[in-house]
Amino acid sequence: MREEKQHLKVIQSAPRMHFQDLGRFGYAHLGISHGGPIDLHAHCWANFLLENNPNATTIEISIGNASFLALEDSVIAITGAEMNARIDGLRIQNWGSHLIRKGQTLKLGYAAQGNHSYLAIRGGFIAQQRLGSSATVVRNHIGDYLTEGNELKAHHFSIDGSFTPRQTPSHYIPDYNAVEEIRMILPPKQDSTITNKLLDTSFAISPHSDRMGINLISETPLPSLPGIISEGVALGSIQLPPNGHPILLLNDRQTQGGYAKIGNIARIDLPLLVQAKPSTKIKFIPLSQQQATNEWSEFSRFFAL
Amino acid sequence: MLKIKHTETQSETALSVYFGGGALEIAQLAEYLRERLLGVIEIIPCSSSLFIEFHVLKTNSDQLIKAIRQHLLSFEVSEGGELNRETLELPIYYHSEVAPDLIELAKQKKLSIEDVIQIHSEASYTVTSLGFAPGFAYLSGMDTRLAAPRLSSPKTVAKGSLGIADQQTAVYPNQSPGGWVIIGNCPLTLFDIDADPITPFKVGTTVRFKPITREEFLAIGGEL
Repeated sequence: MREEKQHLKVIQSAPRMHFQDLGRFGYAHLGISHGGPIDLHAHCWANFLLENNPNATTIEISIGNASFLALEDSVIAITGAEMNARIDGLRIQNWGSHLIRKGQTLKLGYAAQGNHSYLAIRGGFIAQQRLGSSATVVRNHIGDYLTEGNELKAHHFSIDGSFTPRQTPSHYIPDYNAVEEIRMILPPKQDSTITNKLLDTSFAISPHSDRMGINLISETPLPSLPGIISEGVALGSIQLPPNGHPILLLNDRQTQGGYAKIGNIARIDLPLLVQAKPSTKIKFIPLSQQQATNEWSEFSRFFAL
Repeated sequence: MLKIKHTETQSETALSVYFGGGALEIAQLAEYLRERLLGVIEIIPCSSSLFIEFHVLKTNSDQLIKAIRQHLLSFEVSEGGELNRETLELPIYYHSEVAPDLIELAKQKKLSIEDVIQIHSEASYTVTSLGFAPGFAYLSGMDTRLAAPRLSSPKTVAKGSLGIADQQTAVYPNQSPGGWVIIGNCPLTLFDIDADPITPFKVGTTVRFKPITREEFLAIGGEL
């Protein structure tokens, strides 16, 4: 066992900043949400750059404006939203791994592009495991936001001077400002009026969105559909409440829901959706179940999920 | 006997199997399948369907549906696992100081508050599913005289709140947004992630409510 040490101290905390691993699985039948990184792609890259297990605990930093003091020499990675990270005032590259020396300060500004950034550390942060996961789900009262003064533990690695920074290849880095089309899987049986309206409408991402779901707004609401008998809801499920404004369900969603379902966001496109700024206009593009499955399999294989 | 009505793929990694009823049997089947299906991440028994989430590299919808149909045959023969038949008695402080909607409900139903309490606490309830929030158990068996629609907009509901929605009743294990009509409060902890079990509810559990006084409520740890 490697020695555990306090590696980073939170000097300033972002409005929402918490530990995440891949999520808490196997307890949804008791009403427990999966949690996990809202942008799985960026979380996985942060760990990948450090040769961590994809389930290693990272910190999800939303909106931005956070700073950390290094209590030990550490190797870290930053991915996701562009928060113009600096170490002792010097810009460091997003989607890259970096060495931070004891006594140095890492500062992230407000997100200039995207909403959520991931901070990983070599070996993963050591966070309390609840039912086999460190994922924070505030609405389940499991874990909590990180705040000023928190000292964050990680395993100790001696850094012998041979540190080579790594960077995500540019073609894997999404442009969060260019999110326009989100691909989705249509339900096998659906009223074509609803489908046509869904595909024809331009939706704006509501600022009233969170880790439970994204609310969409359109000038003309979609036709109202009756509710259904409560049943399980998938990640990315497009729910249509009676007001005609769809809700896209995310990681901290309730385990069952009774609103009509009118489709499901392709999992491969969820990271783009969650990083799109509030008020961004999006349109849905249909994707076949098979194609969505192929792309998701490829992603899962790449990161060994 | 459970019969699959239809199945529906929900996403790359999820599918629903619809039975059109039989919540308790579905819950039994879920436990039976939990130890038998390969590549599965979640099996959620719902009131008339089973929701299954799976690992995309380990299995797929077609394979799972085929396996479920096969297991369903042997499940019917063995009658599945033991259905939980425990009885849980929950103390409830039925009073407007912890239940913002109690007086209004009585008024609407043209009942006295005492009648509401009596009708609600006399019945015996059954957990038909768990969902919405950790340890939130949907209970069937409520007297139709108390049936009330959800509030038009959700509000913040206190930990332990006992609510009514249509013909269902349930306790909110933690503070949460909610739209159910609140008629009482249970001072017991109904969800504790560090406890074993983390919630006393299972599908099939019989639940009874016992009216308690303000003093008893406070003594057990209830908060006003």
